[in-house]
Amino acid sequence: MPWALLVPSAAVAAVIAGPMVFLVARALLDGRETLLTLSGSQTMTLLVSTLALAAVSSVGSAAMGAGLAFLVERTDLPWRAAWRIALALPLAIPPYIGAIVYLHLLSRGGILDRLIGLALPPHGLTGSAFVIALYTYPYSFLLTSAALRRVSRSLDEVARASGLSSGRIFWTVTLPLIRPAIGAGLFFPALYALADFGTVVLLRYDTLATELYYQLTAFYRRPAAAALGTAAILLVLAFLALEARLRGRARYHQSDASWRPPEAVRLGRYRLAALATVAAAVVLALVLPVILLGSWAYAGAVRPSGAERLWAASTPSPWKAAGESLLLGVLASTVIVGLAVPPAYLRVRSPGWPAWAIWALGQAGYALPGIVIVLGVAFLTNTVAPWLYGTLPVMIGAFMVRYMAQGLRAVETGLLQIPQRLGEAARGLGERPVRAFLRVDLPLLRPSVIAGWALVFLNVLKDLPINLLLRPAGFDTLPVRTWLSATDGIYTQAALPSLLLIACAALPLAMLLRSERARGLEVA
Amino acid sequence: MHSRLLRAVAILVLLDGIIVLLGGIIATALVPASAQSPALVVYSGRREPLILPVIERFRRATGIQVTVRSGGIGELANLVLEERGRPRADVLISNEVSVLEVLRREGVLQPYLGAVVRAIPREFRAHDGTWIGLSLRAHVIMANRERLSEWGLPVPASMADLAAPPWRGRVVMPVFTNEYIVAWLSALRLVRGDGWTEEFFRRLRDNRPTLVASGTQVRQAVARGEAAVGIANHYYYHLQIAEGSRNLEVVYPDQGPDGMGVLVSPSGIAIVMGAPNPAMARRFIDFLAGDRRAQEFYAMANFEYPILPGVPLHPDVRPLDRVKRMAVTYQQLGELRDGTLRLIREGAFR
Repeated sequence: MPWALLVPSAAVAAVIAGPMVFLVARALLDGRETLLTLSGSQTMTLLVSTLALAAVSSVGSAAMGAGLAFLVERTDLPWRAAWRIALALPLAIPPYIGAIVYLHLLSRGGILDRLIGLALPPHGLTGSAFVIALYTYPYSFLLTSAALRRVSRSLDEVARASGLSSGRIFWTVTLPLIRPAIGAGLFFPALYALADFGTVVLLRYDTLATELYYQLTAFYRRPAAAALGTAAILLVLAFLALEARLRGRARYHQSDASWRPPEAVRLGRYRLAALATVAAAVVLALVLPVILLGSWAYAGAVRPSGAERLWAASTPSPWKAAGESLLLGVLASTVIVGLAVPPAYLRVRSPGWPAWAIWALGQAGYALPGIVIVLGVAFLTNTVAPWLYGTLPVMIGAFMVRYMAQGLRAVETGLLQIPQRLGEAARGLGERPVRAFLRVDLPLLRPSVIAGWALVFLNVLKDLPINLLLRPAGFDTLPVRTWLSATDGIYTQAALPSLLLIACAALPLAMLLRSERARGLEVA
Repeated sequence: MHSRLLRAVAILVLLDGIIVLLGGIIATALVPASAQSPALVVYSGRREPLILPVIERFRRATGIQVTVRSGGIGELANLVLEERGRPRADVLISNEVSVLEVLRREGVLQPYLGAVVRAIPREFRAHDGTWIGLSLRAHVIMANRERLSEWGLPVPASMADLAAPPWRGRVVMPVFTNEYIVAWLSALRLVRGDGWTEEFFRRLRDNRPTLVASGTQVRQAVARGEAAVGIANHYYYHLQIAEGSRNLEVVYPDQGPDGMGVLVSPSGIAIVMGAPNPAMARRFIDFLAGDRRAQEFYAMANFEYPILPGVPLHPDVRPLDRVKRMAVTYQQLGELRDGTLRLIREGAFR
């Protein structure tokens, strides 16, 4: 039995590890150039600016998400059920689309400038951190909301009976209980800031990821790319270690048996202000971008300029791109969740170092910037199987590196809820292992597998680097159409693919939010 | 309330899904079975609105299906090199021929010297027919008049001015590793020498120009007044004017008697060595370089200099015979490219 799991698990591990190993090997082979690059002052500058962006966006994002979660979960804010959904929906919008919208809105000569003479070019650190925080806060929001919902009223009552004031209760009882959620809410935006090149290239802020993007798309030998990619890998590993340390120290337990919904804080005269805050978040992150994109798409379709008409007549239809995006999403997430089954079984049923190693690899792959994965995949395929480069399987392999961790976690979560004895009983009654899995485990796994599938689907749809740089000729998915138009500065033409992308992403997101509501599963 | 809301959201999402799926299916069905019939594969490093209409015209004229992969020319040139053992692309279109010159020397391009190609002036094609120019562009300065007067800056007469202290932070240009900039710096090395160019590059870099990803971003930044001047190809100025900007001016620098002139360079096209569909590729080149209407399109819609003798220039564009050009050949630019990149990398990442 373990062998039947070990072999496919090892294959999965090889796919995940391959690109990283090749990247690092390439950097080591070019040792002198690597040392030169890494010790150069430019690398230092990039490292500092990358970390600055990660710090500012993660603090902004986590504060926004946690604050909104508190308002929605613990106060008497009106229409809380609606806000819960609306505040999570910006997850359907990739940050680079947010960047396009805010560029057009706030630049000199942009919409606000023409309307009221206000130009706040969203360039540089502030603009990039603003956009990243605006589109990553839902992670923190969902995590903190779930944690807040788990806090039982009885804890508050005990604290109050012991004579603590409401403020003290918040600091000494509630906050420690939701601290892990806030920590995780800090972690995701930081990883995103490290990984993203779409937003920062558009907003002209230089990070390791933008540098890798320029290196990868420029035509010259790229020893520096391998070195910088290795630097990114090291940075990510340091992040992961830090996160594991922080999480590992303190633990809080609460019993679910006596859970009662906590008492809502009365907002009183702050009610309107709270309502305005929540509404502002939804408008800035969701309503405004969708309306603006809609109006550009409309303008481009109804009153096209000469150039736009030519463009629209000759570019591939955004609808075709939508079809290709959905196809890619379905293929990739099915493959990933399917292949997550053997290693997930291995980890749950026979834990040991091989299982742990695959899990750790998955975590590392998930934390890696997509552009680093692209670089590693390019090195790997060009060395081992150049004829594979630029084909769909390679794209899906790259997505595996990135999102296997999510597939693994989904299947594991499901498996942990199934008593092992069920499968054993089925086999004891004479079923073969595969059939036992299909007939007993799989039906029970279904909810968490579907949630994991939807999560991977959502991420594959929104991803930019792998969609853009590893695509076969003629396979232009929605992110590609959006990016090509946006970097050309033709916003009206970026609008329709952007809207379609958001519409497509809303599908898996809705699946996720439903399961999140039902079983407290984390979207992150 | 809650579950009803969820149901409403679910129904909306379902509708949304159906619409997207149906749209996708219909669009895929409407596109005539392009997947089955062999298609010409074009890697295009030019901006899509400049090239896709011409390709569309080719498709209609010949009935040949074309699959286009657009992207940065660097990315695509790398692809062609990486696929040399098993080429996937038939044709590579470049916004800058010095890249094609490098590929020629790598042996991944296939010569073609048809009648149409021979009609193009010799200086704008490789002597062995491995790459062919499609249109010409001048590398110039565009200026924002309001910003110039606001910041008390003169209209620059020379590119060299932009490395001087008053222009600190006032210039926007593509990143240094952009192919236009690489070709331009190579040309400077040829005309002014390595020492001069190195010094100029260092001063220009230390002047902290705003570095952006493309010429489009240069023209938009100048029009918005983020910088006083931008370095870009001449047609970006005209495209910005066509979008309604009024406060702009185009400067052909270094035109005086001692001036070195501006760099005029072709966009180009080449057949990939071992192309799966060489016959279609040749027809494609004949069409793009030899079809008068295609050439008129570059001239009228994109304000470029047509390369085919006798095709009229857009009336707003300064005629080439009134432009003093840098005395360089594109073979030389290709040869110097590696050294120029080394120079750039020593001074800046990009």
